[in-house]
Amino acid sequence: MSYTSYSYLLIFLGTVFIFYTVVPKKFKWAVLLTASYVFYALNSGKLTVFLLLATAAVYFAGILLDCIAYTSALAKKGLEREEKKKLKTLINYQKKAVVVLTLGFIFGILLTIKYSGFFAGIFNRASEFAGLNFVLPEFKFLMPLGISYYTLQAAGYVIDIYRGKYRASHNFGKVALFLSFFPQITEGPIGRFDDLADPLYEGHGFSYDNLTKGLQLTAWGLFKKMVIADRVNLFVSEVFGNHGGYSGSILLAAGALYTLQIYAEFSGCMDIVTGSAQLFGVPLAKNFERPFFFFFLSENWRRWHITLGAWLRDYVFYPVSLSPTCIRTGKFARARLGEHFGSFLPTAFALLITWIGIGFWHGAGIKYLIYGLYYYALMMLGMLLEPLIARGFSALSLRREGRLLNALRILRTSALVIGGMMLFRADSVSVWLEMLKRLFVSFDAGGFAGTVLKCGMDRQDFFIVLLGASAMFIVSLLQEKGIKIRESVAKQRLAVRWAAYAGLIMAIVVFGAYGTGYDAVDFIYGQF
Amino acid sequence: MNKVGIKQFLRAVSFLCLLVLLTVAASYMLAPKDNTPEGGIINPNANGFFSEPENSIEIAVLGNSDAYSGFSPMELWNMYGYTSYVSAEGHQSVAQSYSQLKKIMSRHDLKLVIFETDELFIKSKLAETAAKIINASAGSAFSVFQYHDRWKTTGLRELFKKPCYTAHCATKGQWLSNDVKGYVGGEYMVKTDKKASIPLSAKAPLDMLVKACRENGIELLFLELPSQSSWNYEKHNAVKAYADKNGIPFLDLNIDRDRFGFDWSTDTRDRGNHLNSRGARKATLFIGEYLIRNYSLTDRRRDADYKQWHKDYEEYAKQVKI
Repeated sequence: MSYTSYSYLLIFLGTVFIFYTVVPKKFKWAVLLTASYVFYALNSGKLTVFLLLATAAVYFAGILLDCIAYTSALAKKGLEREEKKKLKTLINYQKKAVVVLTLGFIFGILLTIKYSGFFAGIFNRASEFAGLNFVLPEFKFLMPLGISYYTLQAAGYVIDIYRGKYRASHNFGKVALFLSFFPQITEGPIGRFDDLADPLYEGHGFSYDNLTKGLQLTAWGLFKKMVIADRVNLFVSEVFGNHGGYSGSILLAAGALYTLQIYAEFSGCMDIVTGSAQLFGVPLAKNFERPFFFFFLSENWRRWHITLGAWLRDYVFYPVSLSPTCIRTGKFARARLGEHFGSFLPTAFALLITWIGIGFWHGAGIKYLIYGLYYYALMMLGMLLEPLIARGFSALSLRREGRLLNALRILRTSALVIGGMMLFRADSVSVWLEMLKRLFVSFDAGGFAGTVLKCGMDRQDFFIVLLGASAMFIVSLLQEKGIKIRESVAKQRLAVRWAAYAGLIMAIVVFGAYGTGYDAVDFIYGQF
Repeated sequence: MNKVGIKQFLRAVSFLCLLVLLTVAASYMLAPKDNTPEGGIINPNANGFFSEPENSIEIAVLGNSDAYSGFSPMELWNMYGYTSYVSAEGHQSVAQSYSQLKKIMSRHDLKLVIFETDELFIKSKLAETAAKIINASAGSAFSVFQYHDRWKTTGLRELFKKPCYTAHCATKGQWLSNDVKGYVGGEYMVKTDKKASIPLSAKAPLDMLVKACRENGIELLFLELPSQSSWNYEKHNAVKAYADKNGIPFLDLNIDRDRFGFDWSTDTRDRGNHLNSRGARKATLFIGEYLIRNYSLTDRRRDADYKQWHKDYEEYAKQVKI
């Protein structure tokens, strides 16, 4: 059941909203939990059992961690300092064992389902290369919906309890709802228990404001997905599907349009799910912050898929960079290689692990690993060259914040992002390299005009995409300037407001890429 | 509900009314103004009845590809003088059949609807079926969901033009095939007491279709044309049970094949899934005999107003090569 389908928007969401509104406050969470599991079961069938297993694992692990902490606090009373120290070591060991086993279990499921075939393939090729006659079966399992998202949420819950950020919930329903909440189970955002559990659980009465604002945001998300992303997909699918027959200029256009598609689609989906959650008074974490407006690649990544980046920062980057080994290595390197390079080394190592994680999180394949390493390499290059660049600017007495320079930076970063997106969309690394090669050896700018309208999109399609993308860009620009669009529209006269809302809905109905002549396009990030 | 609540409720209802009005207006503007392929209509063959003279069609045949391959209105005309039209589409759902019935009824005074039952067993998502039923019930009021893309090809003038249907389909909706690819497998109608189940997504609109026929005094006949790959005895039992319960006659030509000389080696175009023009002729003549015995339909062959039908038959006959 896609978030853009009649089934979801008209029947499922409408029914859940009515039930949620009419039941007493203390049962509202049960409506959301039931709806979430119905939604999940409708999409994943028997594979729902994996969600249940992950939920049970982190629920019991949380309680166990709480029990260990409680009994240790009791046992500490009256102990000598040395004994307290010994007890603390033992307790830490026990807590670590619980966390490691739980994470091993939930990530074990994820690794087995999503990655076992890939790693078995690598092993088999290595075995063949080495002349060994040992072959592992390369299984391809059906993927439970949103497994990459809920696994990270579940892991975050256990780690936070271990770190003492909050106490474990003794309410299974609350944990189950936190992990399965239907608007965010497919594509995130990846939520944190301390932000999400209470708003989900406490129950909210009917709010006209939440209803209208939730529907407005949902409509805006549908506009981005159906008018922009799905229409652009006509061009992108054609060119990437038959890349060998197109010149570099067309491939570049396809790369740029795919970047637009993935942004419009992913941020559109986030608007739909955030709007859906708002109907129930539940605020979801922000996943995008206008990544168009960036000068540097690192800034782009901070604004793109924010909750994944934040998760990896808190649970991978910091633990690795603050580990005793990393700190020791940093000290050693600073003493021998100087301040800049010495502090660069441990950060580079922690970032390497993080970017490999980002790459593999997107999919099991060499392509995704290279995708992560592509961004990693570019960012490392930026960090390494920074002192040289700074010296260059100062030697030439140039300002680093000039308008022209900023425009050039945006251009450079856009080109690098498009390059990365082309890899993300290409069938394989070799296809990506072939496409990049064509950008340089057969760009054929002259033939662009004659070909561009023969790649799945006609003149009218381009016109609608241009209008839609401009609207999206203007809204982003206003938001960047601190203007709250929905609040601003809400302050207008009734006729203006209704014209805006009805105009948006009719634009989706008339200009949406759906029905006869269009293939239904699954959400790209829903496949992870 | 307090004063603010009432105000908000009325405001929401008014906004919904505005949306409905805009959708109806967009549907009118973007709906095809002609039933030719150039006019932008989807499935022009199935919609050719729009340009037949008003109230000239007595029998409507609804169904999927089995129906438009296996029923020949021109053979029925030539042999019995009955006027019929096959308003069938590939993968037609029952909700779409209901929608087509509504459209035909808006132009013709039907006496009989022949419903080809194969499509009863094609599962579709309930929500999509619900959307189709809503659309079908509201006539063409929400056709913008089907024809929204016509903004690309429609000029400003055409948006406000009244529909004028000009297409002419000599075969009256039949899709002619002279291919012969015989079926050589074994018997597929193996008698059993087991009964397939008709999915809710088909049963709900079927109930509506039955009701619409009853309310408008139209006789309804269930028909199953020979199809080795899509039919079996379990499905036969399911349709028979529904038909008996609702007092609807059911003609299953898969069971009666020997009675009209049907031959799987020569009468199918694709190894047993669909009939070719020879198979359609045999099936239609058999159905015609059944209609003569059970219904009082009008033979129009001597009616001067139906001269065009004779010409259409000649054109049809030229196209039939087997």
